[in-house]
Formats: sequence, C-alpha cells, structure tokens
Amino acid sequence: MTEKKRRERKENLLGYLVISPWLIGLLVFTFLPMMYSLYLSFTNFDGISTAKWIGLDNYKRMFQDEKFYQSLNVTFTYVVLLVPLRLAFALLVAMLLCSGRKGVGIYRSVFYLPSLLGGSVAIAIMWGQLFGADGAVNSIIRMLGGNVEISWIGSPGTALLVLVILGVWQFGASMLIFIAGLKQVPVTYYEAATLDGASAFQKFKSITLPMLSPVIFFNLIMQIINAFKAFNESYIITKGGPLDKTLFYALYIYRQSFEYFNMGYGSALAWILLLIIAVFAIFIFKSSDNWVYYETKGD
Amino acid sequence: MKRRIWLAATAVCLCMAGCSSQKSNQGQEEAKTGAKAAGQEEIVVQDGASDNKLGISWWGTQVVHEFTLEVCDKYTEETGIELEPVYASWGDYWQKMNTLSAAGDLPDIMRQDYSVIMQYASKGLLEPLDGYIESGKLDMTNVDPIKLEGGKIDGKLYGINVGSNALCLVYDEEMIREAGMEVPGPDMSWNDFEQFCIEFHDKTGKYGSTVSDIVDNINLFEIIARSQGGALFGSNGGLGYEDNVLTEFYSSVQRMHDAGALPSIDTKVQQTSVEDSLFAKGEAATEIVWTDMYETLVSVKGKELGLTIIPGSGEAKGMYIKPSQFLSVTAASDKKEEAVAFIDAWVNNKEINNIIAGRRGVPISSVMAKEVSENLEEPGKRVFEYMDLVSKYASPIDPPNPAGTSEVIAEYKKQFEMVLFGESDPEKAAGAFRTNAEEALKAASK
Repeated sequence: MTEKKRRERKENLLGYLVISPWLIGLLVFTFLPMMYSLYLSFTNFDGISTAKWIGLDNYKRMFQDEKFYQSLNVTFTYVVLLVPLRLAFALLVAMLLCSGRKGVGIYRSVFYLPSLLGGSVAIAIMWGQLFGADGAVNSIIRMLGGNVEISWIGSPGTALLVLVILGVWQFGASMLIFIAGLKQVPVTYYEAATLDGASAFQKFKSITLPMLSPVIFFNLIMQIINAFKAFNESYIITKGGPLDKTLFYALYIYRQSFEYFNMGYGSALAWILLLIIAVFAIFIFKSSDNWVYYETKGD
Repeated sequence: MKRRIWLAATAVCLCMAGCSSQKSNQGQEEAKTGAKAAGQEEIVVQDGASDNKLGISWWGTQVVHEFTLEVCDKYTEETGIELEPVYASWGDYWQKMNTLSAAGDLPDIMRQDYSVIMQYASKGLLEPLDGYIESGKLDMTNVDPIKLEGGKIDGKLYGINVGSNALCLVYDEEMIREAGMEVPGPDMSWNDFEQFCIEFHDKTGKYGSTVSDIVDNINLFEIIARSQGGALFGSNGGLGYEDNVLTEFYSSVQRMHDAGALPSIDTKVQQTSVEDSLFAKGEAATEIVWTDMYETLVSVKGKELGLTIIPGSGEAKGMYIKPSQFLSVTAASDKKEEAVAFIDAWVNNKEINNIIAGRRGVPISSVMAKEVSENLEEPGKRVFEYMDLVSKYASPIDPPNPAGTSEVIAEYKKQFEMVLFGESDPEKAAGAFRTNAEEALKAASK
C-alpha cells in the first residue's frame, strides 16, 4: 500500500516535471504580467515615470469617459451580431461539407482559408476595395441598376456592419470543430428517424442539434471571448473610425495605453474587459445545464 | 525510476534554455535582416547599452534603418568608436524606450520626437546640451539659431534637430493649367484656396484637394491659427486660439466638401498611405503634406510637381519649420562626450551628410545643406528650394506639444468628421473640441 503510494507520488512528480516548461511559461508570461497590470490599474503609470498609487481613480474615471461607453457599445453590438451569425454560417457550411463527396478535403481547406488570413493588411485593402465608394459591391449594385454613392466601410452607419461581415466570413475555426462534432453523431440515429418518416428539418432539430450541443457550447464560449477581444479588424481597416463607430474596446485599451501613454488607465480598462468576459462565460456555463446534452455524464 | 526522473529534469532544463534563447533571438533576427539589406555584417541589437560601445537608438522605416546603419558604420570607420544601434518602428520604439528608461538603461544617444521630448526632458532623462555648444564640443557655428529653437524646453536645449520638415501645398501644375487656372502661390489666402478648389471642381469635375490630409493633419489648423496671431496650444495649459478661428476653418472645409470640391469624407478610411491618395491617382489638383512626402509623390506621379506654402499663412508668418529628428543625449549616459561627438559629426561631417542625402530633411548646417544640395538631383533639389522659400515666411515653432496631445488630435479629427458627416455644425464642433481637448490636457498634466 505505502509502496503504491510512493510510486504514485513519484509519477505525479514526473508529470509535473514534464509539464513544468508550460507551467513556468504560464506563470512568468501570463500570470505575473496580469498581476502587474492589476497593480498598474491602481496607479497613474505613464510608461516613463515611476508609478504613483492613485487608488480607484482609474476605475472612477471610466464613468465619465464618453469613449469608454462608446467602445462598450460598439463591442457589444459587434458580439451580438457576429457570434450567432458566424456560428450559424459555420454550422451550415459544416453540414454541407460533412457529406462524403469527392474532394471534400479541398473544400474544407478553401473554406478555412479566410480564418488564416484574418486581420492582415492585405485583407484590409481588399475589404476597402470591396466596400469602398468605388468598390466591387457598389459596382455590382450599379450594374443591377441601383444608384449608390455610399462608401460602406467609411460611413458611420454601415462601417461596423462591414466588419461583422468580415467576421462572419472568417468562420473556418468553428466550422472545423462542427465537422468533427457532426462526425460523432451515430448514423443509426438518422437511419431510425428516416424509417419513422422524419423530415430533414425534424432530423436536424431532434438529432443534430441535441447531439451537437456540447460542440455548440464550446464554440459559443470561444467565439464570444474572441469577439470581445476583437482588435485587428478595426485597428487595421477602419482605425476605430468613422466617428468612433468601430472603436472596439480592445482598440481603446491599446490607444489609452500605448498612444496616449495612460498605462494605468489602460490596465484598468483591461481588467474591466476581463470581468465582462468572465460574467458572460459564467452565465453561459450556468445556463448550459439546460440546453447542453451529454450522452454520457462526465463521471 | 530514478534515472527516468533525471532524464525528465534534464529535458526540462534543455527546453527552458531553448525557449529563453529563442526569445532573445527575436530582436537580433530583425536586426540581421536590416543589416543584411544594407549590405553589411551582422549587427546585433541588444536590449540596452553595453559598457564599451556607444548606444544609439532611432525609429523609422526600413529605408531609415538602412541609411542610419550606414552612417553608424561610416562613423566607426572614421573614429574607431563602435556603436550599438537599437531601432524599431514608431510604436515599438516608444514601448522599448519607456521600458529602458524605467530600468535606467537608455542608450547614450536617442532619437527624440517633437511630441515626446518634453515628457522626457521634464522627467530629467535628457542632458541639456548648451554647455557643450559653449565649450565648442558641439559645433553649431553654421547653424541658424532658429533651427535649434525646437529642442529648447524652459530655455535649455535638450535635443539637436538634425533635419527639418515643413508643411506644404503640393500641386499638379499640368492639371491646373489645363483647367485654365493660375497655380497657387505664397500670397494665396485660405479663402482664395477655397474658391480655387471649388472653381477647379466646377471646371474639371475633379477634386480641388484631398480630404484625408486636411482632416487628419492638425498642424494645418495650427498654421491657420498661427497666421491669425494664435497658437494651437496656449501658454496657460489650454488651447491658444479664438474659437471663431476654428469655426471658420471647419466651415470653409465644409463648404468645399459639400460643393464636391473635396472627396467625400466617407472615402477617407480608404486612403492608407500617401501613395494611394486621390492626388497621387490624378483625381485631385493639390494635396497638403509634409515635405518628406514630396519625393514619394513625385515618383508615383512620374512628373515634376509644384509646391508652395500653406494658403493663408503668407505674410502673417504662420508657417514654421519642424524638427523632424532630434538627437538627444540621455542624462544617465556615462559616455556623454562621445555621444556629443557623434551628434557633432552628424551635423558637420561631409561624408555622413552625403550618406543621409537629405532623407531626413534639409541638413541644419548651412554648409552641409549647400554641400548636399550640390550633389542632389531633382526632386530633392526642389524641396531644398522650397525650404528656402518657407524660411522667408516662417516664424519660430511653438514649444513642443504638451502631454495629452495624442488625445487632443483624436478629438480634433472626430469633431472635424462630425461636421463633414453632417452630425454637427462648425460652431458646435469648435466648442466641443475646446471642452474635450482642454479636459484631456488637464487630465494628462496631473
């Protein structure tokens, strides 16, 4: 018995040793900087001079900061529009690509490509070309007889929508996970349903969705977190404009910290973002009991 | 069993060593590509200044890195003093410098910017250079004192500006002549310019100027404000002009914009660089840019372009010559004499100036400016002539920007955009700008 215990302890030790590079990395490169930023959020650190403790001033300042509210507003709108659209689109394409047709691997790669390109400069230019005043979108509308002068990416009313479309277009990561999930659903369920005369929609609603719900749950959490952290799109393509209509929260953190040299205030903003994301994650986790179906419970 | 644990431990150590060395290699990697491009031996960028080499830092684009490395090499060749360069792009540069300053490890010589130098100087991070000029170690005999004005904070000189820049109105002479109109000159008022743009648009259907440069460049308004006896930033820690000046400026641009003489404001986001401005594409007759963009514009358009001072500045002397690159000596440096000697060479050494070839603006030493301009071809020559013209219409530059300037600029653009998008009117926007800007300045100076 004691011999077994000793063995176990030894093996645990070995296990920790093996993962220690990662653990140390997490401690040094994630946890320590995080704690440092928590400390900074209570100071007036400007990046140059020594930080002075100013208590909750940074957090109080947010309440009077018009841009703080604006960036929250933009980010929430973005999350609410983007996440459902992207997930629905990813699921749709995943289902199309799940059939055993020839060359399906090529299609999957092609559909995944936009996610890899992401917020690159090339995409920024392309999006400008597509949605600019003389862009492809307007040319098509004009060809169809419409009369448009608007620059979609440059107008306050439509700029954020264009970024949402860009986000939906980058559905690849969720799509891959959906495909993996769809492959897990036993074919026998569908066969049985077909025998019972279920329609395609009924099969989708009663078999696919419940069986897929753990995967949907995972994708939902990941996509919400990612959408809250969105930065590249507006930093590169619209620079937060026009009229701060695409001023993402993460972009505002960056501006305060590295452009306005308000490192302390930027840190405080970052911690509020962490709180917001945490609240959402907890909420979704709590609600998951009601809609996520596991065939076997985890224990 | 024991052996296995030992093995694992060794593996872990190896891994960590691997990780850490990879990290420190990143910066070097960058440096190597830069150095290779310049056709030199590998130069290793290190995190701070080491003990025996003279540390120097700058920001810039690839072109700047290349010729500055060349300058460093030349200097080493001539004096035997080895330099240790640290360089990055604008954003990364300041992050790095801020960290190094917190660690008390700034390089001996650092490139400073007009918008940041005040912050550094007021925190005692920079060495005043007046003493070195008096003792002759820093030879400024060929430099017009007005060109040193920009580096002065509270009467002390904290940086030598080694290249000048000025705002200018670049115009396409051919397009304007074809429209049967006169080209702009130094005596054009801002109202004339407004009329000019509208008339040009009416005659040709093209644009009189570009919208992005007018909206995004707060220095344009600064010149307008200076021409009317004000300044952008006042001495009282707020803004230094009367509200009606900004109201009039906003309304004038609004009139041009609404008449179609400027591109629509919603196209602004599409212009990401000077190469793809509507002026460069031949859709607009003029563009307001800094002189160091002139060469790029000429090469894109493939023809000679005219340039003149900003409309409305003229005899009122609203124009100014901006220091485009300060070289400062850091206060904590233990090699101040050597650092000063390097700056002296940058200003007065013939070979070094021929390497730089005016790429950081006109040399401040009149002797070197002449030397460089003799070896210079068009279009660089034209810029040199323009700088001559500007100096006739220029008055000394205002003190470096106060803390909080970036927020002020962001606010200025936002109010401007609101006017052009029709979501605000010039008077309301000018008022809102003052309120928000002064608030930001106050918050930043706390």
